[in-house]
Amino acid sequence: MSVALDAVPVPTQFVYDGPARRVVLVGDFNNWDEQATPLEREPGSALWSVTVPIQRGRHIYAFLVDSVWTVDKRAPVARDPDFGVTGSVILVGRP
Amino acid sequence: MTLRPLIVLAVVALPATLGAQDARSARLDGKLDGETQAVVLRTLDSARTRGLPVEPLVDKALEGATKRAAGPRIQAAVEMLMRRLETARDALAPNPGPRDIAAGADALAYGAPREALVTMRAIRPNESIAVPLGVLTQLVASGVPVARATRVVADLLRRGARDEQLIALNNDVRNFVAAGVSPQAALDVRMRGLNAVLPPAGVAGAATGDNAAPTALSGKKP
Repeated sequence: MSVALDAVPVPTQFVYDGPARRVVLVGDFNNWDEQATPLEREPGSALWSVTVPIQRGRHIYAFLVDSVWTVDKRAPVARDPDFGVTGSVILVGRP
Repeated sequence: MTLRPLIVLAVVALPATLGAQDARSARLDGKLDGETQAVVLRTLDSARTRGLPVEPLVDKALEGATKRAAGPRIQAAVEMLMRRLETARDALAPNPGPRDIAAGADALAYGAPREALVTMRAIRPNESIAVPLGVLTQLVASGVPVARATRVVADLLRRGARDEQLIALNNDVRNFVAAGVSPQAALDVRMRGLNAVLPPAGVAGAATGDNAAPTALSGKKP
């Protein structure tokens, strides 16, 4: 695979399961922006999701559930020696 | 090329470069206190001078801000990351992309030696190794000793393993570990599975698909 093709972002879905008024995705792929990537709730359920284009590789992220830092319970945990706040990890490859 | 066109090029390129710098600096506005922002901006300037990618440094500062870290801790994290980026850039020479450099810096943070990066670049000189380095980092994070994880990922790269196969390996190891299996045993069992579909080193490319026929090395450890 060429480097150029390799750099094409891959649509990646994130799902949070739980009651909440608002869920936001923050990570190294969206500047850790607390406003940029809200999740949408599936009608009639407690499932929230969003799909965002992400470069291939390893990424750290978390959900802000009603403004509370929350790891993705379905993903591995990323220890954080820099700030001491664990996040979640996703490895993105080709779809 | 004569001097005049060079000057024109520089004049044309300078505003764009400054614009990019301003954009990165602007991303920090309102996220950091004044002193921390000033220190971080100096680190970004230093990174530019050294030819390092600054995006990971901006991201690290923003990560600290989102995690409500204290200013001195953010300053230290950005400074340490710049040093890891420099080590990774040198290890991945001659012309690594920014994502590879950032992935190399992550691997170093988890204890991967510089030589591991050199080895993987040598195996894949013309393609991104962001995913293999990410898998290495995650295997180590799962509890696989760094030397073993490095050997395994390097061996799989030599045998033509695709990024998706590496990611699947990592995910399976994680699931096994979560179920109570030791990290090394989890890696051993998944390697046996990959041995059935990957060719031995040196003939990579002959049969690297998931449905490829088993090779003569099926069932053997690398």
